[in-house]
Amino acid sequence: MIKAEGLTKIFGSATAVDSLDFEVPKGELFAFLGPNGSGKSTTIRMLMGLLEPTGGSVEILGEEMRLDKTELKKRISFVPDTPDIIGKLSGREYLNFVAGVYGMQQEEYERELEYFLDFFDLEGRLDTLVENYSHGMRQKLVIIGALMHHPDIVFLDEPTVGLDPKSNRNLKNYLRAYTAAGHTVFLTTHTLSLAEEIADRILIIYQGVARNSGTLDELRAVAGKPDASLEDVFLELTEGG
Amino acid sequence: MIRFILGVEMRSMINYMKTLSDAKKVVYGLLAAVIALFILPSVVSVLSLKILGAGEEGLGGFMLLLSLAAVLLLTLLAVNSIIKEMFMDRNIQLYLTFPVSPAALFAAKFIRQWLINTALIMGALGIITGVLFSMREGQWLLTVTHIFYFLLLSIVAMSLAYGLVFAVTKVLPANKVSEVLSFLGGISFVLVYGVLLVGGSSVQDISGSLPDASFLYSGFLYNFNPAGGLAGIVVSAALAAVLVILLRSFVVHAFKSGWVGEQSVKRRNRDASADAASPVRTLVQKDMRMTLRDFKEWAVLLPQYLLPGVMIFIMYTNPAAIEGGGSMHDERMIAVSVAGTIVISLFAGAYNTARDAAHFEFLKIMPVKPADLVKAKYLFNIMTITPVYLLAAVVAWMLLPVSTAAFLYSSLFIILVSLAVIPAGMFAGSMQPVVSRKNPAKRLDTATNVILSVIMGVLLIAAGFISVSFARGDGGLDHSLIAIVLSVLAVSAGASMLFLRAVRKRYEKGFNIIYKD
Repeated sequence: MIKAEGLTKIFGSATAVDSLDFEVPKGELFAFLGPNGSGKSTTIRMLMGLLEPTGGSVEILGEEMRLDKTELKKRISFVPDTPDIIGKLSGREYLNFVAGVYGMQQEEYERELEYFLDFFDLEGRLDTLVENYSHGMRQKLVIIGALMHHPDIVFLDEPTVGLDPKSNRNLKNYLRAYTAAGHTVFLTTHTLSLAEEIADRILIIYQGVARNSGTLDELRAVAGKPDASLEDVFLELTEGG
Repeated sequence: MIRFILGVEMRSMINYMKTLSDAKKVVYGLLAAVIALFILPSVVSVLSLKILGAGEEGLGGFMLLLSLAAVLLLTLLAVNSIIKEMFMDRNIQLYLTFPVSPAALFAAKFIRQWLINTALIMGALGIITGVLFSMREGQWLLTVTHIFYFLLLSIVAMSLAYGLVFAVTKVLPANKVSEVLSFLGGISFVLVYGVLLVGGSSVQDISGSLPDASFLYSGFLYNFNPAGGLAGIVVSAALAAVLVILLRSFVVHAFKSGWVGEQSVKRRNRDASADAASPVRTLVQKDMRMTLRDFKEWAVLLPQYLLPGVMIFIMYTNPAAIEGGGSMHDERMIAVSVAGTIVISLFAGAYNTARDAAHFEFLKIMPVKPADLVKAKYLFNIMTITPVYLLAAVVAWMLLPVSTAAFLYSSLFIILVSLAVIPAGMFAGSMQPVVSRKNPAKRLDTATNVILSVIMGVLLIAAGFISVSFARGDGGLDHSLIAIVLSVLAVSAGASMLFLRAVRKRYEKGFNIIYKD
């Protein structure tokens, strides 16, 4: 589903991402972890086609990823780390736009909208301009936009920032069920407990270089801490404890 | 897909209109009235004079000059809007995460920006010149050829603006690009000043010195003949199409190569030293660094800083612009010093104080007394206004036929006026500052902006009268009147501490901040 080979990005004289290789199969929830400035956002932008790699390649759903492949882009979606919304729109206008560009049928759109509004407690707030929303409400709106058309792959960059506990739990459960239904989730987060709870596999990137990857138990074994939390394992593998 | 994007952009614009405050609606209404009642008639009458009254030999040069000026001005004005959409709103990156092709995104953005930024103005200009040339030659098809020609120019202006934006992104870090280009867009007012300075009488000289452009325009825009008109229309349409196609491929390539983030490597600053300075000194340094590091800060106040230069030029090159005429060099120098210092002190005082709104909570939680905040701001304003204007006065004294006495008086006026007026500017800036994430240079609420602009306009007009009032009957300086005014200003400088006290109270209570977007 997602395949990166020798993925490299160099800005000037600084290497942001260095020869990254990984593969995420269908139905997996893949957590991509790393400290600030380690190259996570650069990688995710290259996977989405927003940034041209200096070297290596990206394959999404068996095709080389390019910005002009709109049919391929209809099968994926992205939740950015800051929930910016295009223009000065109300929540409903934003979702109408998303439904339009993803080619959703009216009936399907209405059904999904009803489901997600209830899911995130947003009923009655959709006709307010997004600029008047709180950070959490914007985040919910962006997540709804990314999930309501059921993409094969969803890229989530820090999706739980600003979400209330109930929405947080709902999202976790949803993502679990989503991957169980055969969809793929690529998640970056600093909330290691979230990754520990729901990730099938984890890749740790440090200073642009892939450090370790595997299931949590495999990472624990590499770190020599069989009963440790992901937080301990992560710190051991990135900072040497 | 273009339809969806244009739909969203349109919806966004309608929502913007709907949520305008009453004050803003009034300002926009006034602006529209000024354009309709003053600017448009002025443009029409100037063009009528030039087009209907000129001999055929000057028409080519005049059209070339008009085209160059219009393209240059609209290019610089369009830069701001392109920067805002491409860099500051993060719209492009978001759009591109959707199933939208870069080409469709470019097309939608370009159509909207073109219509709003250049096509509207160029179209109007084309209609005006077309009708005037039609009247001159009795050939109404000239209106059509002029519209085609000016629409081509609108595409040229957009292409240049895009080219400028994208070229700069290649040589500068992305976070600096918006500052530099906003600065360029901001200084487009220089062209307006340029038009003022050049004056109507010089147009003939300039157009005469330009290369003969009659081979471009004759038959197409004047001396109409069907073959020339048709060829001009076809060439204009073809050139416009080629420009748009080239631009599309250029911009799409830039989208694909991730141009926004391409240069975003941050330099690591390993300097962790902190001066063990007083809070006031630290705050002044903070303001100084914020100003020097950000071109947008320069752009905000540059028009006001340069205004005295323009006033001097107008006064010394156009005796008719000033009541009394004659050789009142000394009086004019003093008048410009007074009026210019009032304008910059008000604007800079207001803008620099309103800047604190963006990080007001941070300032409040710091262990700094509000009195120190005000003192630091006052010092910063003095440091960035008074020496600059004193230096300008020295330059003017060296270049212009001004006596030493007038120079000394001007220097005293600059010092006293800045001391007296800066607190008033700070008071205005702390009244209802604006914080806008998308447009950080917008710092004052509409009412304050209007008031300050009106004061600036009045002072521009009043500068002439000030110089007359400082002149004696025999043409010399009225020393006793000047001494009286200087004394009043000295007292005012002391009394203006009342404004500073009011500003301090606002720092204590908290600013009444308007948050935009």
